[in-house]
Amino acid sequence: MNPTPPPTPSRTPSRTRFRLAVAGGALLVLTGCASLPAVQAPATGDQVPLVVQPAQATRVVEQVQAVLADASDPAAVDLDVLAARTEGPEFDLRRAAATTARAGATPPATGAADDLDPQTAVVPRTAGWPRWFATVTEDGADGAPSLVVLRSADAREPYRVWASPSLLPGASLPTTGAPSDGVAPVALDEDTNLPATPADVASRYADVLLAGDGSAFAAEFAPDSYREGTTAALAAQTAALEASGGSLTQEREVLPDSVLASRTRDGGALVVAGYRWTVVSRGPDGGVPGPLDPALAALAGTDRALAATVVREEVVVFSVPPAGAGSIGVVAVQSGPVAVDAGS
Amino acid sequence: MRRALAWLLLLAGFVTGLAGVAVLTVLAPPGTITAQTRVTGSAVAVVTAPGVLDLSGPTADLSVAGPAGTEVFLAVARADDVGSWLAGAGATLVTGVAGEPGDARLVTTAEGSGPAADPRGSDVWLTSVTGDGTARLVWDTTADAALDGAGGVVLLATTDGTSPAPQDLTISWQAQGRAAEHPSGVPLVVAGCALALLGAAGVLVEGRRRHRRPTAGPEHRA
Repeated sequence: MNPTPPPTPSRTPSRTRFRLAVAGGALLVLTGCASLPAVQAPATGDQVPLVVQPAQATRVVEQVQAVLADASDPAAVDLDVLAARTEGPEFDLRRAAATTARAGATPPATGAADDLDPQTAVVPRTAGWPRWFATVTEDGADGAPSLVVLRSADAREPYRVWASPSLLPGASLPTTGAPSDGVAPVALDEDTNLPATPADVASRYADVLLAGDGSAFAAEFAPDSYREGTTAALAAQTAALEASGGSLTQEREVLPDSVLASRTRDGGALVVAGYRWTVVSRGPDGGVPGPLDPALAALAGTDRALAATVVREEVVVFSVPPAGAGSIGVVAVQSGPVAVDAGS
Repeated sequence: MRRALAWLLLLAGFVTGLAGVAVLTVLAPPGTITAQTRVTGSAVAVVTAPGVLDLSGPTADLSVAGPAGTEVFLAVARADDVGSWLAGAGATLVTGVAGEPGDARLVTTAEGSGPAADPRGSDVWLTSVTGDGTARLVWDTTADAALDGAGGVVLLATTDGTSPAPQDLTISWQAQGRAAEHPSGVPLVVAGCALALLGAAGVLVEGRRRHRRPTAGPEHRA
């Protein structure tokens, strides 16, 4: 029986430990190397974004101002350049003014903004298109600030001035959220905490302008100087024509896609609506064509007519209070003739 | 034996500490991460995925290059808006970066087809710049989180929206975090200091012990 040999001293364990230590050290250094960060997808926010960031809005307004500054002389305006930054009633009214001025007549005042320097803005929080936002300008030469409404049809289209109604004397815009906070849009058929939906506000005021105090909705709207002036002028014109055997008819329709609305700080709404107002006046049968107003004559292309169809476009801004908190106020208006068809 | 161990600790401490200092200085990664890509094909735009611009640092330095004589357009915009602007047009999507901090490349994939539109006619850009053949802008990413609700912020590079996009895109970020330094650097320095202190203490203690031994001689003799 062979005795078990005594363990011989060996260097293997210490070598192994040394190698393990070196490997561990190297691993420590290697695993500690700098590495590229990973792309982190942004967290999904709950808040709907502003339609434009404040810096974007500023740049848009500056570009619009540059175009409109070049178009300050109606007789010399380049309509193609104007169309790059205006649309809807704003473009139609400025094109009519250009036609009138080129014919040597003085374009009628429309209540459009005469100073585009913004002092604040109404910026809805909306995803998708179309989009709109508005700026409230400084007081212009007419002594009144204006609400400049800019709209963009889709992501590839720029914001264009759609309307710039000036405030009526004594009127003030309702308070909305700060531009950086944004405002909540109000859907056309939404009447939460409102006396009427924005669509109804627009159509009811059209009825009030047509029917005056006889409208079923007259009591819903506070008296305003535009309504008073329009109804008084139309009544006088109607009386004159009827006295001579003529007639006057009118209709007013809400322009397609023209009603915009956003919440105000008191829970009410700021509503903007556009109208096309058509007035057909006829002299007596067999009568002699009478002189047209020079501005209308310029649009009609003739100085005299026995009948005339005058098409005006209007943009009205409403201050809609919360339900039960008073009547709807008209705070700003832009209005003017855009086409005249003279007949005999 | 104890003395040898103490010297070994001291030596190991110095070596480890020096390694840490080297990793933090001469072996440190570059201060910026620069990644680029060259795109080919007929895609009309190059777009980054949300989050790419915010990869690192407080700014992203963006530059594109196309053929000389071609006006290139470089912009930053909200991701949702760029998606609406592209509307399915052909684009090269930059989804991330790969490689090492000193040798990074942009990872791309193709999506969509067909033309877009002239980007100069749109207002969706948060900022934009055009140039003859090249364009560059520096985007401050510190406020990008505020636009997470719009899908984040992305880059778009194109020419006229219908011709092929600029071929070369380069993005540079200031390196931060793990991309800015080797994570092992500080631990190595700390460990090296600790080992060196232990070793130095051991050497001192052993030195005193050896110094005391001769005084014990007479007692032994007795």
